[in-house]
Amino acid sequence: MEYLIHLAILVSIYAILGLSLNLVVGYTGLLSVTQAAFYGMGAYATAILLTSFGMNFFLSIVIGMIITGVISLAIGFVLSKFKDDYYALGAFGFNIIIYSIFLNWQGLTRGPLGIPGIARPSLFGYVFSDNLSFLVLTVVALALVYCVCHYITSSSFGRVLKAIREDEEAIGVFGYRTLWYKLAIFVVGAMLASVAGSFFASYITFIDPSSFALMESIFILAIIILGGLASNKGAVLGAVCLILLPEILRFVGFPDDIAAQMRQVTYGVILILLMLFRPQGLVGEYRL
Amino acid sequence: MNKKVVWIAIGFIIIVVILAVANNKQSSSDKTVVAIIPLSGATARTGEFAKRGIDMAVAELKGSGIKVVYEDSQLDPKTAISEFNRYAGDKNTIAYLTVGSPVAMALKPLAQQNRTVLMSIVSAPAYSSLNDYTFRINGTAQIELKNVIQQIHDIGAKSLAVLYQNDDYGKGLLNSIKANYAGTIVDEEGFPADATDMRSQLTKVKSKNPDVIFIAAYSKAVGLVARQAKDLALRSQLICGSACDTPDLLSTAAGGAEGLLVIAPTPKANTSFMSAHNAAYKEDPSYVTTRMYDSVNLIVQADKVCGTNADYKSCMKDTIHAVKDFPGVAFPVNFDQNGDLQDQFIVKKVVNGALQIQ
Amino acid sequence: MDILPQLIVNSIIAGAIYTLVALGFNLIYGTVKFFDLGYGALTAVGGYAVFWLYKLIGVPLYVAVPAGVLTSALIGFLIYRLVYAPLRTRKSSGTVLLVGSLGAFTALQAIVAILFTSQFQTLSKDSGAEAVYQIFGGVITQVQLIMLVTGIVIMIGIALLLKFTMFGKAVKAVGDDEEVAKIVGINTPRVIGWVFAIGSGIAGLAGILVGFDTGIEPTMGLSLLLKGVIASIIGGIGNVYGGVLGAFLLGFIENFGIWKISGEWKDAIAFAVLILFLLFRPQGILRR
Repeated sequence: MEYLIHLAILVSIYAILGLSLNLVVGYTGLLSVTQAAFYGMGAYATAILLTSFGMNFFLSIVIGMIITGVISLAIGFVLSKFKDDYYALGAFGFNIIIYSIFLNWQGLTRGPLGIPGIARPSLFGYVFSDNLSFLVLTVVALALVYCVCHYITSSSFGRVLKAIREDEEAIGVFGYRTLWYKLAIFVVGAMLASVAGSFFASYITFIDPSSFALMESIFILAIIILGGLASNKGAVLGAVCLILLPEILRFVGFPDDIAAQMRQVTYGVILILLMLFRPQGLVGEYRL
Repeated sequence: MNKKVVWIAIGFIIIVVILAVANNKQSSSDKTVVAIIPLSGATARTGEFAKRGIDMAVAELKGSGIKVVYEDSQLDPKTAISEFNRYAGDKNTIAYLTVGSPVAMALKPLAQQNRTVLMSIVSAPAYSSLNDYTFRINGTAQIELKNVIQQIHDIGAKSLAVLYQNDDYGKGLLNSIKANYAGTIVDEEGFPADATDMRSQLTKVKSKNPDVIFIAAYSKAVGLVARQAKDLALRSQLICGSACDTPDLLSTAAGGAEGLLVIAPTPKANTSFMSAHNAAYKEDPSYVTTRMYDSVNLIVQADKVCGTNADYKSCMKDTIHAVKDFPGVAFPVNFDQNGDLQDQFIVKKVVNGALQIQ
Repeated sequence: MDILPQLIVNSIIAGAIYTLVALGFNLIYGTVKFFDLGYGALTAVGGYAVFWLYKLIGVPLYVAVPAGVLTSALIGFLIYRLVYAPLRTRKSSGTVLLVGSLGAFTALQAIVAILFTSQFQTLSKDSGAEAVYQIFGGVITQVQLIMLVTGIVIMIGIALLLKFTMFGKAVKAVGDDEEVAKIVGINTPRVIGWVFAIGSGIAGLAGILVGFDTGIEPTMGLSLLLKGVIASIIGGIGNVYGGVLGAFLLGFIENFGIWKISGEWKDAIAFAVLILFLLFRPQGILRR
């Protein structure tokens, strides 16, 4: 039972990440591979605030979001100068630069030694120390994030985003300041990723830079490509599938030492097959 | 088309979930030791060494009613926690073995909460904690550094440079040596843990001309550094610590490590363990192998003592804490009150392409 | 300032490695205009092919190396036929091809790891006395010199190929405008197939030489690829000489960067340079 609860928590955290990235990639068409960096910022913010200052978890989420929001504004601004493939490359670059900061700014993050002993959330004296209560908290957060995303994407703001994705020049001609929209959604996506990071930090109680490297961004991208771009349901579905995938593979019974490699092969083949036969993912509406 | 896909997907997932739960419930009568070690990825070699030690111990376990299962941690905290939780609910899980700081640190609170013994090869200083369920089966940076510094004094060196790999092991040793070395550290150069080109770092170090260069890295990096140092005609004495004492050191150095000093926690030659290991794997054991071997035996021994005890879990913890001079493969095993192994080091030197005990 | 000569030599050595990677990558990009991430895994393929033949089976070097190059050329070609060609036929966007190539990279790398384990291997047999030369006061080994010479030879070879042969002109035509090339009667799929084969072969050669200089491991492809991409972009994407120029420039920036900044930041420096170039001169130094 513990195991299922654990999987459910992971699915929820990654669903939040998927939803956040979907806003940027699926709805606005910006191929961002920086999400793991913002995920990490939220995690480190919570980690540092909780361990060094004993701050309340929920307050740390807010502060994490603000810090991530400011930094993502700067990054998003630089990235907005790039087009298409170069955008992805620039995003790669920022992910690696921020990862290097996590790894090397010892004074702040303790570098590769990581930050242990992060407390579980507490509210009015109740501590969410057992996994079931933490799961409830995470699912509540997921529901909130989902509502926010749904609201954004079904509003007129969301329509402008989709228009930007389809033809940015055209919508510019109509007088919309596309730069502001792109920046806004990038920042929102980053802040939501930071929320996921805060939960991650408190759940695992120990974080180190290795959890936020380039591969993590690619994993989150794979989640929404599989689930389906421009679909909030798809983001959640993708998270469920990719987190549970190792379980499915376990039944195939590969020998221990190649099981993880086979998982990688499967990811690669899934991506290829998706691109070949169903680029819109499982339930998406946007074809890359 | 869309709706159908969604329903199929959801149905599929529900089936998987049910299977996952069902799979979890299968507890055999055998007591289980769960080894959560990196079987793939960058540290897979270390995981492989660990597996050898465990396999060798298991081979001698026939009839004790204890079995070992392996899970791949990929050195990733959340994967390791998944693996931990898979077995946590099973009352037959008697102990966990892990390798690597991110994993050990992530599992530490869980093992404590679950009251199950956790024995890890880990470099993070923060892992040490008083009298609890977590044990460190390798030497702390503190102990390792003591031996390194001793060696530096013994060869009469006055100046030291440190070359470190930028992860918990290398950085941890760097911090420790800066705090404890009384002489001058003329230069410290870091490189990414997966780097293969340390030439520029070595060039900088060369210009400071230290008597000794301490390389805080794993054997692959040390081998490369040694080779490149030789190419660059560095005259400083090279010393490396416990993590470089694996068979990969000489193969990566490809002849360039002549004269390298290794501060190693490894068994003396000619015990039956060494011969068995050489027969099976055609190379000398790494300390990871010997430690895991000892750990399995420790657990088996503790289980014999605690088997019928009412409070099995506390008994396991206390028994292992209390061992006095347990016959380990390399030297008698003792733990301090933090559950840290009182590791003993010997000095080896690369002579004519082989490691020779000094 | 006695370390200056050696730093210069180090930069040249690094530049030589990146040159080989960039040459193949640039050739492919210049022709098909998408970032082929699968290219990275081909370095490992070449390296391990030689490892298997030379070190495990005992085939002589002068047979093993060409065989290794041919193997990576063949596999690169196969990936094109199986994954990229179908995608291009349906006019998939560059992003789809990028994601598809990411899948190919992940899968291929994992397969290499399954076949050969993740252990770091050196290709050179116990050297002990490896030939070392002094240039301008800096030290360079024989293998590194071979790398440098090979890189320059291939650069000249490709330049000559593109300029003076019918095939080369066809490649340039396809790169300039594929539709027109087809109309004029060029068998574009065949030309592109050859481009992939040649480019992949160069990647394999790069992997082999790196294997002799330091060593090979299944994950070697990613970092080599990223450096090759950075080199291509800053030097001038799609231009043969550009890739080489960018490679040496990157080598210099990295190694001189370490002089002043700690070696830990090496990757971050490389990507910061990339972003600066993307911002201020995205087409690179040399034009197409």
